[in-house]
Amino acid sequence: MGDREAILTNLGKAGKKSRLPLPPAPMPALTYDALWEIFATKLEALGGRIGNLQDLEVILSRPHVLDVESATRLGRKSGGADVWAAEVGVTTVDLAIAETATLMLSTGPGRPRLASLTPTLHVALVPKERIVATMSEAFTQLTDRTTVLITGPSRTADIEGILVRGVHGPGDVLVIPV
Amino acid sequence: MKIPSVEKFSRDLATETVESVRSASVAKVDARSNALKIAFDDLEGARTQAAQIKDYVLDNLPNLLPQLELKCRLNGIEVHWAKNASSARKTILEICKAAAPEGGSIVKAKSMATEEIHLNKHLIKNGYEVVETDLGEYVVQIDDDTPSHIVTPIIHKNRKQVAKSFEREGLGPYTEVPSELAMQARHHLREKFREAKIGISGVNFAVAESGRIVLVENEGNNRLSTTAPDVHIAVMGLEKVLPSETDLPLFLRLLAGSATGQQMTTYIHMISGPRRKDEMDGPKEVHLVILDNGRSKVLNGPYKEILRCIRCGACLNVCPVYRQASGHAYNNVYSGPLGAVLGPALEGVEKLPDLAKASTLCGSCEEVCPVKIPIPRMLLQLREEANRKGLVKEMIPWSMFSVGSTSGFRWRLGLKMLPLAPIAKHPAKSGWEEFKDLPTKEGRDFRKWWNGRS
Repeated sequence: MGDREAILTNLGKAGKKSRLPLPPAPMPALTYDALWEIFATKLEALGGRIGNLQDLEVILSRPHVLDVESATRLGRKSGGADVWAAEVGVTTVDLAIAETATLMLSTGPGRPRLASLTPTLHVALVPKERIVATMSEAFTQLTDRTTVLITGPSRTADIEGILVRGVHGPGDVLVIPV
Repeated sequence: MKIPSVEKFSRDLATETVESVRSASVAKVDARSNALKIAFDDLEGARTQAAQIKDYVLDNLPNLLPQLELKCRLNGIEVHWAKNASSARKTILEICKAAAPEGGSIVKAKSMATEEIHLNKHLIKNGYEVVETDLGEYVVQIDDDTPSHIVTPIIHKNRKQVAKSFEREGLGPYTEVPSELAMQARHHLREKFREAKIGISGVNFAVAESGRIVLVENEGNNRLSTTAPDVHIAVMGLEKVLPSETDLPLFLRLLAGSATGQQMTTYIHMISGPRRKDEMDGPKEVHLVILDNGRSKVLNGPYKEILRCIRCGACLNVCPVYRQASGHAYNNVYSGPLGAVLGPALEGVEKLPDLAKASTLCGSCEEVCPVKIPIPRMLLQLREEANRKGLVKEMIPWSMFSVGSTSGFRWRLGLKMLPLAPIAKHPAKSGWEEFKDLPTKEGRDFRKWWNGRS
């Protein structure tokens, strides 16, 4: 008997009880401005930054990598430096989630997975209307692609519980509403 | 070799270590409660809901696991089943040999399931270089140590010890600044991520409805390990499945708050298969290994609810015994109150008969558990089981107490003889009297007073 059969035999029959439904998740009706205000406060508390497109002029003089959507938006060529050598990665994200200052970013054509991970600075462009209040709301818009939720800069507190940013991922996260 | 009890271990522990473990666990407790208060208007309700979902999962694994398997396959994820540790090691080695027959580096993200099956040793023995990439796990590995906490593996070490290890390994000039130490690790491990053909991770949640593997982390090493190499192998205890994607927000928020006092963990990686044709990076193969290793047996026994555990570590941080003894005292991959139940439940009480006694039964573990596992009740059950099987011996004075206190006559007789008691050793005397004096009896007897009152 293979392992699969052995395990399923040991597990026996499934129970009959059904599960409780999740309680309704309130989706507060806030204006985009109000949602962005919450997002900015939470992001800054995590050590991330909110910026604007002018900030990019200086930033993009450093070795960088751009995903296709961001490149089109900025009128630049996509790609750029080798993703391992890039100091800056610019991506346009699917959604921003206000309650936790989280970015939702899916994979797809023209979207290198490593662009938001290997550089020391991750710049996330978020179209202003692509913001929702809660995580539950964001999950209703999840696609079937591999997706990452990013909340602030990479961090660790493994050494004596002391917070260090940028241990493996970007230590600096700049979010630009566009 | 006789394994020392938790109590013995804690007495031999260096003061420095006790202080590291104690201060780090205490610091986490307040952060946790603040984070959860912000995240949930009704925390009690959220915990009850999470416990109920987990119970539903534990009752419906015969349906949920095949559903997960099917959906994963549709996503291009290869699914393997492993009934025990050796079967899991064999399966994983086969995948590695197919992907990198000539050996080479394997990058690893932190995973308790792979600790449980002692995977690293097996892969190293078969010619692979296995590199732990979580900062804490990396220190554990270069020091040839074992993790002493399921979330913060080097809770027992201070920065000086880390600094010495990094200097010894040639990571850079000696520094005791945590941020500089972290950067040394970043630079050193970057090369490993680039050259490794295989990445191995655990699994925090796997969603049956969508066939998606969910990984939760703060550093980014887990994303790197599961994105940069050509092959990703995820090892999952079979209880980690969740029915639906909409269940995730509840569990992610409970886990972030309970584990590290965060509103949300930095990276939630939701993997729906290998890189697709239209993508430029990501692994070409993703494998999911579903591990039993004793779990199906636990499901049909009295310790079933321990499998609700989402490995947040909150019960370790609040436990007075864990704080004093450290994770290594438990002689098991899983430590603290969680480990004191899960260890014997998975491996049999015969192997770890003493663990259930490593508790004051203060109940804090159950109070903080995000999925409301009745740990104190199960610890009592384990003690009872160990006793019944004759695995632990009650100390003679306690046996005398149990005889004497269960009949009125014997109790009164015992009381008359109490003045003789100082010649006997008090059952709690060892350990206690190093620090405190036992009080001497003062005043009158309650019974004499009660009978004589008018």
